[in-house]
Amino acid sequence: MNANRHPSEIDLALYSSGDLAAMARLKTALHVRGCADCKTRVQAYRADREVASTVALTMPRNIDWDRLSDEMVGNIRVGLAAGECVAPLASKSQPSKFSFGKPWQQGLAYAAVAFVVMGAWWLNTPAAELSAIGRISRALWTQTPVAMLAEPGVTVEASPGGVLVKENGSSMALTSPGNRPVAVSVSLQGSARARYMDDDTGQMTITTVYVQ
Amino acid sequence: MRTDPRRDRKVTRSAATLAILTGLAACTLFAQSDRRGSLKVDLPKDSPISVLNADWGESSTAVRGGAMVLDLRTALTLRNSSQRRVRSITLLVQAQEVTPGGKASVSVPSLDVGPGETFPVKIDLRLLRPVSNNGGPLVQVALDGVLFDDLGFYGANKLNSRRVMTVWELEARRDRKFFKAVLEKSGQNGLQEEALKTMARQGDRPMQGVQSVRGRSTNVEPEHDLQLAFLSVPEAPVEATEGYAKVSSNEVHAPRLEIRNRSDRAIRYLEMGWILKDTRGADFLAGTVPADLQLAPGAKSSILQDTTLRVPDRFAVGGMTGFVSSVEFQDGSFWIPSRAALTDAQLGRAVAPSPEEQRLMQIYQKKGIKALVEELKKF
Repeated sequence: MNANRHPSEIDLALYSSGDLAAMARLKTALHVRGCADCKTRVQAYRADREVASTVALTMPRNIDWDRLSDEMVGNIRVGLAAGECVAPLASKSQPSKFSFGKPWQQGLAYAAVAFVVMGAWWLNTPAAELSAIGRISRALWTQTPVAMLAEPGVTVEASPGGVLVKENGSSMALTSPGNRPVAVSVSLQGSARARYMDDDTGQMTITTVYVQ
Repeated sequence: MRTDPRRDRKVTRSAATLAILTGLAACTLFAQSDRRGSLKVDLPKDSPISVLNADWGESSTAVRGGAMVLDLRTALTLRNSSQRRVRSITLLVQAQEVTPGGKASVSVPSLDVGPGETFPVKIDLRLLRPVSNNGGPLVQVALDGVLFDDLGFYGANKLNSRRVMTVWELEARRDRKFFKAVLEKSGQNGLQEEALKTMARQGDRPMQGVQSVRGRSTNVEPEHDLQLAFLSVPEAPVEATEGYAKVSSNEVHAPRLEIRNRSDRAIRYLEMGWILKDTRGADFLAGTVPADLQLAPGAKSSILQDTTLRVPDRFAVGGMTGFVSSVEFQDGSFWIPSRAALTDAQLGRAVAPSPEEQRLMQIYQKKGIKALVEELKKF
């Protein structure tokens, strides 16, 4: 067999320990069977492995376990102390993307996130619900007994924005774009009214919404 | 056969552009037809008012989450088809699909429209409703009433517009008569002085948002009884003797009043105005308590409304003062406070200015004293 075709030392070592890939293992096995040199090398590797395993399993005599333990603890402490000394310099020179900094910085970050979440909730919650939540919170805080249950029905409303009738989440509003009412009022019989003046024509228009 | 890739890309691009433009045009047409179909004006065949033109203006539709917002900007041009002069008109606006428990109206008072003449009525509506739609017109507009210069009335009167428009007309006549008298007595300078005083009084009236809710309140705070105060109007045919309301923070609930008819005529309707005062002393005209009743001369009665009046959160109700603002007698005639009664500082500040007074002051403010004089000379 041509020497150039001998498997490499690494392949022979891996073959001896059974760690070679399947195709390479097959190829090497065929070669080793017909090549005395390589067969000898493989046997030598196997013998070395067995000796190494036996040595590794045999504990050295006269070991002072207490001293070994103290040395290990000491080494760990020295390592931690060294790490403390190096950390500030490392953080200054290469700030980590995922570092949360000191506790007060973490607290500030959490507060900012909470502020954003609360703000989004506040802005997206209807005013009536906010008002009800505020009242309930006040009642709970002041230990005031709750007098009535919430039961929103058909509501009419007059405001500087116009008049509005609301029912089950739907609403009908009478407005006057670009024009503020000159007067608004509500009747306790269930109606709301707004008066508008047209600047161009001088014509008065009165809009009213009613609860049927 | 060879094809030019550049030419192919150009053709594809042109086709895409054409498709987009066609889509946009279709959407525009659909939106336009949707808006036109959204509002239906329905007047009776024998109506003294006819629709000459309907301008759909800048109406728009937008989807917000699960809801659709429909803005209807409609300008109707109406013609007086009768032989009498029209003083005011009320159109009933209903959106059964959106708010089955509510309705609306658009009124134009202080008109002076002769036979055959036209006048505009603007209807600016904003509807918020679920995206699903069963089809058909969303908003129906009908004629509720027309008041003529002889106080004659035409219409279905579902909203009691005859009563409301008659009170507006009587107030308009009272105020025009007052300003005419000032003009005759003191000339333009006197009228100008009176206009300035009137405008100062109008400007001294703070405006607050107010809500009215039928039945129970949504408030969770405890209520307490508040004794109501009353402004004395010596000439009023009705006297309020006692009254209470349940108050909790910014809400007034279930007011009840004891009244007495001190006139010699039977009364069938009464309206009281209410001024709310907050705990810091600020006050504003919050609304009215109307009541249909049968009150014989000298008789007493109680008025109770199971309604809640709600003002903004920042306003804590500390007091409530009422006054008689209008009365309808059994014979169909009305009482309203005279200009003499309104000279009382407290009452003058409490009673809302009439629509006509506000219109006249607008003319003075925009066009000057000569325009106001010309307006007063018209009728």
